[in-house]
Amino acid sequence: MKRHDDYLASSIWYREVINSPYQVIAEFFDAADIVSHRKSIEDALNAACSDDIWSKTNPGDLLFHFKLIESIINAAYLINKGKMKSPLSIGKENAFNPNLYCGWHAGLTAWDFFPRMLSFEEYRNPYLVFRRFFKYLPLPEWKRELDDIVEFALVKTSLSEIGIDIDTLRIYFHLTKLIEAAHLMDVRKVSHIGGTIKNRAPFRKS
Amino acid sequence: MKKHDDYLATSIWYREVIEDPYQVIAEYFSYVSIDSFRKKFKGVLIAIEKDKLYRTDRPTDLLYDFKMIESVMNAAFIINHEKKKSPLDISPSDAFNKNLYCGRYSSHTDWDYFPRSISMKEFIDPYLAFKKFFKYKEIGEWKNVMERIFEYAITDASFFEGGLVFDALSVYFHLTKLFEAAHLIDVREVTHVGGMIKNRF
Repeated sequence: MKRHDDYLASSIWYREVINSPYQVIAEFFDAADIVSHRKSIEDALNAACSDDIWSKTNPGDLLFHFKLIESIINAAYLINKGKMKSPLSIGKENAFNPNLYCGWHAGLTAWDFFPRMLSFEEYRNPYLVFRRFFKYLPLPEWKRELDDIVEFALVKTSLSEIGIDIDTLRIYFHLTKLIEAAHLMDVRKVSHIGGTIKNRAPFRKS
Repeated sequence: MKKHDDYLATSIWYREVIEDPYQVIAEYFSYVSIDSFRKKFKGVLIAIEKDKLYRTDRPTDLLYDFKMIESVMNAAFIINHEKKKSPLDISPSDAFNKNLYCGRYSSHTDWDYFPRSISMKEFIDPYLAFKKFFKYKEIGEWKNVMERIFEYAITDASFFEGGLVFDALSVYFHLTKLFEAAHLIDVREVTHVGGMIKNRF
């Protein structure tokens, strides 16, 4: 049987005890916006699966980014244990209501915030994504995948060259969906970051 | 130097001479919606990354899908050769204007039609996605990739087992962008399919 603190035993970079998983999500999107998170996952996977070395920023940034991803996986793991459901009633006719998906980052537009990988069912109930994420791989295996991606993103050798068969697309879709679902929860449920009220000033419209 | 009829020399399944590339695109989207394309193509790529057969009732259907995909690739090649630009004046604030991206299937909603992979620049000028597609790989290389994908989709071996290097993410995004761009061009610039006015209600 899975224990509630499994996430600590399997942690690689983010070893902090989580008291409020929704605050971990809020801090994740305070550190970087959804566009940067999506791009970093794609870039890291591309670097790990090819002969290229991660060259977007310095290697420390990649490590920091994956520490953040691990934090959100740990938070999702805890939330998923609560078997939550979205309290909102959302139909296809109001799917494009910006209140449902637009974050507080002033530099981004509705185009940037709109989810790209979620199905409508997942958009309506983002908790479903967390369930599917941990159904695809258990927590410790996700950590191993992340460890491999970081390791091979920072060397010239690709994962396949040394005989590691990684499901690039599935990993990409699950991680991106996780981040998009967490973003929706952050927009719809979390009003502050570490006690400071979120900026709700009007964003740029598109 | 690339020749205008390279698409014929490299064709695997779709060997027809194209008179009107926009009609080829229109015919594709009267056969399948952009939403169905995205789902099916993603399913095929995921299957070939694992040693799984792509599950379909009839492999012939998949062959037909690939023939149709090649037809759009050929049409995009011809259009790209003409170095076209979008005739519409679109600004970022128009991004959620349904007239710019919604197709004509009454069973589909805005959610299904909204682009998922293209950038804002490509949404404004979809021809840009064609240019990037053929910059990433020449038409002959794309055909080789598609042939391999089809081959591995109908066997229970994976690319990895076959010792092939497969840039899954880049292939997925370039192809999805190409089809989303073709869909936008179809919505914005093509009024009929084979002489029949498109249903807009």
